[in-house]
Amino acid sequence: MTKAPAQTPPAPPTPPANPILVALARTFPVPAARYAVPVSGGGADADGTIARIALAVAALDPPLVIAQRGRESRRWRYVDTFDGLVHRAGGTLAVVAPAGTSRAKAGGASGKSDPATDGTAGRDERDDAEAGPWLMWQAHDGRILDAVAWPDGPPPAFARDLPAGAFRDALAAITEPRRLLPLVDVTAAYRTYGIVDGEGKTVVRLRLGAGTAAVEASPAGGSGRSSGELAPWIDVLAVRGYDKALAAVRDAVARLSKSGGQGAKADSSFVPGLVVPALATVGVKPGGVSGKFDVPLSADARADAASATIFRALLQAIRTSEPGTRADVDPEFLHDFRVAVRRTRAGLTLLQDALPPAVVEHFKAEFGWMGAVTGPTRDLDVYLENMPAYRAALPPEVGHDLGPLEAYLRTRQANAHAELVAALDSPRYAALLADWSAALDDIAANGADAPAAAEPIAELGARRTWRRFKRVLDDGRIIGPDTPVGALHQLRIEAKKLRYALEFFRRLVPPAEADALIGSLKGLQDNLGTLNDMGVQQGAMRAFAADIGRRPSNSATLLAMGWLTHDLHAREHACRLEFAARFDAFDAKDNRQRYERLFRPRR
Amino acid sequence: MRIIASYAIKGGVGKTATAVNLAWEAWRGGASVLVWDMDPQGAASFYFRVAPDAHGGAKQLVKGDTDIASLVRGSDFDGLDVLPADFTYRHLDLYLDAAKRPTRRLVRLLAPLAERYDYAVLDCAPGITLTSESVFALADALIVPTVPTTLSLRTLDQLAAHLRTHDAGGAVTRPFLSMVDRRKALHRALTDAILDGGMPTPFPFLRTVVPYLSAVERMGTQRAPVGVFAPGDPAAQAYRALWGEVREVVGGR
Ligand SMILES: Nc1ncnc2c1ncn2[C@@H]1O[C@H](COP(=O)(O)OP(=O)(O)OP(=O)(O)O)[C@@H](O)[C@H]1O
Ligand SMILES: [Mg+2]
Repeated sequence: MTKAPAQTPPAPPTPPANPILVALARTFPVPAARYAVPVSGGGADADGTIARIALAVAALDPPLVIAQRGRESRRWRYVDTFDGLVHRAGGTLAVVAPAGTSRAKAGGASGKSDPATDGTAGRDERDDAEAGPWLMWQAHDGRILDAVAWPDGPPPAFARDLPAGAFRDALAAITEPRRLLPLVDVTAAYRTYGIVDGEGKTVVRLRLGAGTAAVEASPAGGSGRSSGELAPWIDVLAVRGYDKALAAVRDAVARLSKSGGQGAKADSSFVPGLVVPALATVGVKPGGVSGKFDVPLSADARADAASATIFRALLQAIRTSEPGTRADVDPEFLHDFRVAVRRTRAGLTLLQDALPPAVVEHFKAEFGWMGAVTGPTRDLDVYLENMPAYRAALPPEVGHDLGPLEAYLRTRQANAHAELVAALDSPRYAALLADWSAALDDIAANGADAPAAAEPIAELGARRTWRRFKRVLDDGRIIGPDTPVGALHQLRIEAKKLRYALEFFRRLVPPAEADALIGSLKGLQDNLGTLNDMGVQQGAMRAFAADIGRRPSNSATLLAMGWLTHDLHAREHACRLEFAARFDAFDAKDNRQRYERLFRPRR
Repeated sequence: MRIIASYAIKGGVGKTATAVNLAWEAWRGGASVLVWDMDPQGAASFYFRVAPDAHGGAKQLVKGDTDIASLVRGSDFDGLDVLPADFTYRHLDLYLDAAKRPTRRLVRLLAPLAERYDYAVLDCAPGITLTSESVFALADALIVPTVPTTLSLRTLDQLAAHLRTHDAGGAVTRPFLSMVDRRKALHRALTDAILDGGMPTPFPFLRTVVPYLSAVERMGTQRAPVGVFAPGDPAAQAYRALWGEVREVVGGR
């Protein structure tokens, strides 16, 4: 039983935590709930709000009092890839820096504040590294996933620009080889308050925030910035073990707030960070800018003027993705460029009744040319992006044999891109943009000489959308298991046209309806799109094989490509089998009724 | 989770002051910390402004009706939590008496919290009791505030004898000199003798000396660790240095 007291120190446990992460988790606690600050007298009135909360919590049993703790301001520069990969992976990435108020002051708070009950007290001596600025990766639920000290200058352009380590690896797995582009800048001022019980103990914290959001007009760094005020908000922050007080304070704040409030538990869509409201303020969608096409229209605007508005937005998109397209920093620039070109062409068809016929004819041809000269590069970009997936579809040793294919694709892509740049440098392209811009100015100023030019855009839009919807229904319903694949490709094109119509006139229906319309169509489009891709890729493999097979040493590559072609074929077949279910979902009663309700012409 | 017990057989030697300030220093350094107030007097809870648990949480805990995590209260420092008093030492002793393997029970009680905290700092009541014996077995380190008086030093020998004759587990025991008043000749003489090795002691002493300072007394009116309201005071510096040594002993952050 006897045993001398052990005197050997135990080995250190877990590796030391990243002190930046610890500091950040304390600096940015995850709120239990968020509420809009009540608006009184036309402006958000933070002091009045606090006074009313003070009255409300003083009436609780036991009574609580409110005490101001501190103020601070921060600037957040959010970045993401063009297509919102960071967002889609469930988080945000931002360079966060103190703005204005110094940190020491924030810790010491105002004269009334009692440092003993300030959660940040005593930390003003921390290293600079722990006072920011940081590059911070935060999950949508508010948890801080990782962070690193980062100078308050430009954010990193690529994940690979981060210092080596787990953060870089994890981010690279999500974003590489995509470029990180400015998404939105937010400057926020916070005031923190403690709600204190009879012991002088803080039982709940409040954080009032207000700020502005600003965004570059284009992710490629084009001209102009748009900005707006964020609606002021109150975060309610829990202190562990004081659930009753938390519930009482939440109740009190909810009753004062003009909004119902968002709570982490009640509402899984609650994103505690600032990026969602900031993007809403500047009219950008989280999850990427590439798919975004949202032109404000008023229902009774003349169709010709509204068309000019839509086309001008698309022209802007063409212009802003052009520098990135030339530089070839990220395939998404070209993708966006092409999307804007295609939409322009589709719009010329869709809105032709409201536009001068000569304009329609000329620019359809010119934008068709743009589509043609950019197509080869885009196709090759897609194949190159697919390489990892191609390899994954094959056994590892076979996947390895695809090396020469990738090299071949790279060479062709470089050549195609050079031709594309030459086209962008041509007088024809310069004239296209200049003439198009002038034509739009003319239509906006003088109206168009066209049959439907003066019709309200809502009516024209509904008519066109309805017709396209009917066509998708009619074409889709006759497709059976044995219908030749050509009919499915025709349907894909009709569905795409309907999609353009829905996107163009998106603002003419309530936002929830627009989302439902696009959502139900997207399921069908994805199926048809994959079906088409699989077919096209099989054809492309055959064409590539003709080139690659010229070199005898490439026989293993040919074999691997054959294997791959078989896999593509199998996937095409699977898509085909899935089509019926996807179409039935689109042809569902509630979806049909939605179209009828929104677009069906009333005699 | 590393477990640090502020413990001494003798009362009024600075155990609570040590527990509170060490816990806060650990927190300040970036760790997440649980302070377990094991003294029914609730002094540590008081310093953190946490009201004692009035609902007899201990009883429910003993019966297995309550999850220990639900008794934890956040302090005013985000990441430093308190398991308040009256999840009491008395109840705990009774409970441990009834249990077959008292130490195991205590370990199991704490298990749900082990993931959440880097350190648990235990503020113990004085004396040798069933609870303190469980603490000896549970803790990674016993930090023993020792006032440089003959009586106080004698209790160190008692502690050493006790640990030797009982299956005391793996705790590293480290006394340090507490409440040292250099105006007193005896304090001066004993402090110097201990620190320069002239006087044999049953455990190696930590090098940090915590002097007798009024800032520590003011914790009672400020109700906060000294580093919060008097960060530049020698008392705060002493606890910072003490934490540096304790962290070395116990490992971890
Ligand atoms: N270094 C110090 N300088 C001055 N006063 C001190 C110091 N350390 C403790 N005190 C004071 O001495 C008294 C006892 O300290 P403390 O409560 O920390 O001791 P304890 O060992 O926990 O006591 P108990 O055995 O009653 O739990 C308190 O009033 C405290 O403020
Ligand atoms: Mg005590």
